Amino acid sequence: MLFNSIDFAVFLPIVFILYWFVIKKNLKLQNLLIVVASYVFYSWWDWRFLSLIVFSTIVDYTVGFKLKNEENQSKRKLLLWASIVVNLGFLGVFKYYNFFLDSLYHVIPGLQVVLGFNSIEIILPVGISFYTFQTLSYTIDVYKRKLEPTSDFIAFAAFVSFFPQLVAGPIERATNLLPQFFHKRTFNYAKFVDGMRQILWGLFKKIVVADNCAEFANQIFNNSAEMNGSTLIFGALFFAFQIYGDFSGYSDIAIGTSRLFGFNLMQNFAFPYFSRDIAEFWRRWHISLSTWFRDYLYIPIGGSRGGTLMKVRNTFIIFIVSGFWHGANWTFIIWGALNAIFFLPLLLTNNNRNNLRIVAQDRYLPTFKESFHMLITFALTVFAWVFFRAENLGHAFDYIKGILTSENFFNVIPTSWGGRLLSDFAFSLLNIVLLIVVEWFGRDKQYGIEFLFGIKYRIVRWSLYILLILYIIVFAGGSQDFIYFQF
Amino acid sequence: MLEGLRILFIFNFETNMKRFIVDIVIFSIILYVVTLCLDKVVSTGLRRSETTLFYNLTKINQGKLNADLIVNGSSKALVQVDPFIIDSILGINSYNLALDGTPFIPQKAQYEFYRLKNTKPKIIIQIVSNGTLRSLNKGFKNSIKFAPYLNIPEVKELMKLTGSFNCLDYSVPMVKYSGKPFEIITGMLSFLNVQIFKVQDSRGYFPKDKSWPTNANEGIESSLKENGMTDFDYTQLVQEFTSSDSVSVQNFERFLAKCETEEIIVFLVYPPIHAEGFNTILNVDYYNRIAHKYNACFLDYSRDSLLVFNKKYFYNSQHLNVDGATIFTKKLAEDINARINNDLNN
Repeated sequence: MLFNSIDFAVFLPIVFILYWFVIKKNLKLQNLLIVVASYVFYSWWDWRFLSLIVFSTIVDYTVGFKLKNEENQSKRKLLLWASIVVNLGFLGVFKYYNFFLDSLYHVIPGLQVVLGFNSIEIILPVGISFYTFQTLSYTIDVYKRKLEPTSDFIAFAAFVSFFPQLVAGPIERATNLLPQFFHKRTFNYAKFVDGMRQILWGLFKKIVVADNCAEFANQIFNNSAEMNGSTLIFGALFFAFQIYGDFSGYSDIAIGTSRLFGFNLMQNFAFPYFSRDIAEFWRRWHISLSTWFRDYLYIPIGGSRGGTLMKVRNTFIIFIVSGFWHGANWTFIIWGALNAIFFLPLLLTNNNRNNLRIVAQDRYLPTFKESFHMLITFALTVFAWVFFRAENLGHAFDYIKGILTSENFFNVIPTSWGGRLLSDFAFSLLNIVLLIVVEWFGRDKQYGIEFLFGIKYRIVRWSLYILLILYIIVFAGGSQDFIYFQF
Repeated sequence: MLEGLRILFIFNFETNMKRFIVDIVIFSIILYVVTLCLDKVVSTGLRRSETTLFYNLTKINQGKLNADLIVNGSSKALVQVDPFIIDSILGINSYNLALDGTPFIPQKAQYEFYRLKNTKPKIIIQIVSNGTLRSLNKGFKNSIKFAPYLNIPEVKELMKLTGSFNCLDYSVPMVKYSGKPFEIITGMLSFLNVQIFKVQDSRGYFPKDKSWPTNANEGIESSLKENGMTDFDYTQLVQEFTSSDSVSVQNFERFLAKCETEEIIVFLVYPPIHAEGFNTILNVDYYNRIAHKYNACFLDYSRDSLLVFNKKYFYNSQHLNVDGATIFTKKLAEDINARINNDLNN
């Protein structure tokens, strides 16, 4: 079920009414409703893969429960590994089986004949990378005794399958989300309005910005060989805003929806395109995944401690694994490696924590230096996105070559584009400008239009909401799937 | 019981919830009223619009056409049948109502609308081809032109068969214009009597002054790209265009039956197809049979030797250019004239 679908527009109010108006006094029933609603939400896509979620839930609940009373360290470790093997095993089979097999056969020709295995058609269960990491955080935290394991199976199942963030995050930590299932939720008007507002902004980013940019990003990337240099640059720019609008829009809708049910999820995007260096970008982009890797991978393997060689190794490991998490394709691995290369100079010169505060704090506009740094960081990010978006490495290199060697570089609009595409192109740019302007003024908040809450007069606030809704209706792009569903 | 419901749903709520319910109801009402007003403005404006897309329907709605002869069809009618030539030969008033890229059902919707607002035509030239009766579950090109007229039952019923609009388009204001900023702006300006991109009155005829390209599919390919379609698969496209659909066939026959009842002379015309596209000529026997059944006349020019072996008259295998269209329309008008005179003499 997509957030921007009629199905969800019907589903959400039904669950909301049952949750707050019918079983509002019973916490256990509310949790049970969340589990049922989440399973329905997931089954809407493919009910067969629901069994994976249920199985993961049972395994991790059991492991957590056993860890509670187990003092023997080797047995504790065994339990932890059981959880890791089961969860990553599913991920490995569904997401990486074909990639590893094909890569192996490529490296060792003739092995295919010996082994007799071939790549198989595997449907990737939507959201598997997200809920696997979320449930892993539980067993790891329980193992490390950072979290008391729960004996409430329903609450745990609700934590694993919580529908607003089930299929595309934010990847919540058990330490943050799980305890919220044990506290009585009270209907809070301000929180509810805040949730609705964040959903509205998420819909704007997804339906208006991402879906319109997708049209041109797809058009340009799919026909890159025929495009001029400047058009290819626009293609990469459109993709940069497509993926930002798509994923951060999804996160905003997920966080806003959670608020409607009385839950607080972590911020997943903090205006990353206003970053002044790559380190800051990675503190602001897909925060839930970056911090997951930081806490459960980077720090355990040594982090930024140790010698230069160790730092370089750890940096490459975390970025390449992060790239690989996105998909079984060399393009994602190179995308991760590129970000490691951009990040390393900052780490090695101890400049990776220079920009911890938001840009131009207490000022309306950035300084020239800040603008220059933002521009460079954005350019590096867009360059890396080319690898992320390309079909394969050859396509990515051809795309970049096309930018550098195009004969009619400044001829932005291809001759095959008619008048209609031209006006859509202009409207897409207008939407991007609107997004940048609004987010600039809201950059010290959790999401773009949170600042509207500060407007004293209700009539002004409501008028702005209505204007935004009308804007979404008028400028809605063609419906596209959420990009991160494929991860 | 009603009292129980009231207690459950209103009086038992905390102040917070009551406030929420009241606010959400008020906000929804305001939003509905605003979108309804905007919908009215845009629809009214588009019903006056004189851009290429809306011109024909605007004229139909104003009841200003009242032609003796109308031409129905898709692009094969739009670029190939010149009403001025027909008028000069038949001495009547004709109009080309072709809808580019559409099969029969949208053409029928437009015709039904025409009949509601204009006088009955004496003659109809219905251009037919391989795609006339194709399935329509994915919608059709430029379906937005019908959006301002979805309140008209005859149009609405036929549009439901096309899959171009969903239930929200019919029931929620502005949804049918969602994602169409250009049309919305056009409608708003037109509402204020500001006409942008006003089209010259060519009686619905839009000839193509183009020559045959090096690649036979190029014409279709570039047209698809203009419409944002990139994954070009000619075989699939041909398949999609040529598969007949029972709903379309049913509607086509109903149309012919109604014309017969109303004593409108119908000419089913299969236009010339270049020799390289002979394998795309389909359903000729069907058109012949059905014309006979409903007392219409079938004129088959699909393999007409005057035009079909000469590329200088075509810009792709399916469409004549302006030179070919002039020759074809002249021949068509003369043939119609001869048939009518023959019928009168008999």
